[in-house]
Amino acid sequence: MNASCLDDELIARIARGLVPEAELSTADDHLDGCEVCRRVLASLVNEGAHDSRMVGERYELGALVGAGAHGLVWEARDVKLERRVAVKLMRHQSNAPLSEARLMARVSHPSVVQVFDVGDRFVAMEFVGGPTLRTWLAKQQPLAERLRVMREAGDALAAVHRSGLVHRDFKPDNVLIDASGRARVTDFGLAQTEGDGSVGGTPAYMAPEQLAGKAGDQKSDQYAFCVTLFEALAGKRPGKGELPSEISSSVQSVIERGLSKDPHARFASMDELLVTFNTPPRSRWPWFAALAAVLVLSISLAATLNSTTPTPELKPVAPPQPKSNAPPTEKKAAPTKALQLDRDFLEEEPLIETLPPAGSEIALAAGCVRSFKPPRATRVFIEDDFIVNVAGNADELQFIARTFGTTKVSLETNGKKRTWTVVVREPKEVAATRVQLKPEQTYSVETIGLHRLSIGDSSVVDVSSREGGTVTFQALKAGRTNALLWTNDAQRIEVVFEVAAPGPGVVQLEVGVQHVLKVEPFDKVRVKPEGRVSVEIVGYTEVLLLPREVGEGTLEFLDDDGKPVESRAFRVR
Amino acid sequence: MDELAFARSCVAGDAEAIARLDREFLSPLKNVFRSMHFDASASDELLQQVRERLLVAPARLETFRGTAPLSAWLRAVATRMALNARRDPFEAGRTGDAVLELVSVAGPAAEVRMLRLEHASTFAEVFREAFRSLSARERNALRLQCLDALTLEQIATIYSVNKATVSRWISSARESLEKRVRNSLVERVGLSGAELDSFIVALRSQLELASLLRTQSSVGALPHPDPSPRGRGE
Repeated sequence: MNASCLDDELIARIARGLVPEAELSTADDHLDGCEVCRRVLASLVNEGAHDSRMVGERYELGALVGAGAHGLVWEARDVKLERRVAVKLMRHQSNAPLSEARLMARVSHPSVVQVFDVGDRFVAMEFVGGPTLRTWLAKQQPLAERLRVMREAGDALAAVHRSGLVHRDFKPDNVLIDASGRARVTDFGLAQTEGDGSVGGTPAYMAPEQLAGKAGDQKSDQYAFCVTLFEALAGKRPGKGELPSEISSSVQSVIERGLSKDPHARFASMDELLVTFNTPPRSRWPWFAALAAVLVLSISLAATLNSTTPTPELKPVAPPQPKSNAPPTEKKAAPTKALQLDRDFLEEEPLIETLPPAGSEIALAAGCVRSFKPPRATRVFIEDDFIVNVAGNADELQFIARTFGTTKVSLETNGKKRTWTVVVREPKEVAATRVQLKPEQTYSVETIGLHRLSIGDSSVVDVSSREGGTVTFQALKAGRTNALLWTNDAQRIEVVFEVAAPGPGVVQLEVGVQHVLKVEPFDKVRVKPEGRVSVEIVGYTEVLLLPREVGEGTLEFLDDDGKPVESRAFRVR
Repeated sequence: MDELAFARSCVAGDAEAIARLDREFLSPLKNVFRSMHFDASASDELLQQVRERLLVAPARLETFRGTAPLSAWLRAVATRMALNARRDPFEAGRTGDAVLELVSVAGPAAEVRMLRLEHASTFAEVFREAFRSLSARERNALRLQCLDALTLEQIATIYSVNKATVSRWISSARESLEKRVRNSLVERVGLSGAELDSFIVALRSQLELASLLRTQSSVGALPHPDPSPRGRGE
């Protein structure tokens, strides 16, 4: 550093516009002749623009923690206050909900996730590390705990209603459970009302009037709260399951009234609902009356709700019951292993792709990165770097999806500009592939890279290897399951596996390969036609088959007395 | 200010503080180096040098007075070191101003190129004189815009003025640059009419072109076309 060069602290202050005019004039004289100082200054000023991880000039994005309908949620560091925050980057459309988020910033309640800051297209909130209510519920919580958490969530909703605000998208995914176990309601007022009058929200939790196109209000929040309450208690949504019998009558009446089709039939307010919710259970009530109420409730709910609540959900199909002809060995139920957002998948070295022809579309799944081989001497133009940012070096050009939307990215090489349309979207479903396998057989799926993978029943089929974007599945036992693959180019690929049982159908043999067959103790085996396979008894329960020639036939199992008890076909390859 | 205390504990050798320095302040600098086109191993090496410079006596971190955010100061220190590390003999030998070179490289129109070849030294001198006639601030604003590709807003931040003010500075600087060049060319080379016009048009388009150029990194987000201030929390 040149002795007369500007002090780096001064440069840092100049970059932030914190230096008074008199000092600036002196600095200007030096900058006029010193390229290094000027470039240091420019680099500091450009920091935000260059750094794809900065938002609102003070939030440095870290890991992606969630994706919702309204945008992606990132863990972030507030560089000004040096604290951890959650930053939600909104979709491009309507800014109207943001004004509401601004009002939310004034609400302070122990069960409401505090909104710190609202920017042009982001909301900075308190960071709650815990799981969502949905995830929390999946872990078999005691009934009393589930009631407590719902009460806290209800309190939060009531407090916000008292300030004249509406949530519009209350559901188990918008309630977080913090480290101390407290319910924390988030995403207030962020549900978007689209310009055409259609209402954003989650259909399964939307009140009938909301589904009919009316904007959400406190009454529809109440409805959504009751759907969530039912789900928290019954494990399923109304119409799909039943409340457990030990639920108090007051809670039942809360649910029943809150789920009224007519908004006027619901409670006047969340406060009123909570009064009933908090009524201590009357133990004198005969249990059968309670049960009857549940039955009536679930029947009427089934009638009213079934038709109105389509629930498209990304869920692997439930592991099917093992067929009766499945081999009786391996009886123990293997636990389902879902590799959702597995770290390994995210941290794997990205595949470097070749750029598609100019003019075409580049799709990215929300929160994903796709890497391309950069053309020589490229400059990048991004129409909206809120949606996608492009970073890179000589070997790799990374497209980083930041929030949902469509924008244009152009690359300029030797004065020639080529443009691509980049779409960050929720995964598009690709028609399911049906695959029939035999145990041990494998099946590979080629993708451009995965960010999530989930297998319905990994005891039937599991991942045996993964190389770049290619995943190989291996059949483990007879059964049916599916695998869902979320690719970085925003596709959701479903593969349905049908693994055939090896027996008791045809016994597959191969010439020259001995085959061990399990038999009942002391059973004998007779081969028809004789000599095609020779049989050797190797134990009480095992015989050894040695195929001699290609062809088909039957194996007859004889008991101790030589009486045939069973027969099975065989085929020799 | 506790950043100052933190810097002091780093210098004093507090292991926990140094670990935090590495984690939160130094490792993000790798992105700075990567954006300056240093490859991974060079970035690592450079980061190591920066670290030594900061912590090993005479520790640079000791000079931190806490009048600016530590992260920004560290970025300035690191960028300076990276620029110095990269300065190659070709660049070191260069004496003129980069803006002048931008304008004196071959222009787009053939006739202008011919003129340039004929009067190369005169043109360079004419342009240099015109550029020198601007104020230091005008020159810096032009350089920040043309060479460093800062947006008007970013330049406005530096000088704590309105974006419109910067826009005025720059257009008046360009105008007077153009006027002076035009006058000098008439006087000294005797250019006139169409030749003169095409030369000026070439000069203008090159300044335009130059304003899109980046010097440090050829890959990066261009200034957002939306003129409204973005991402400012309120």
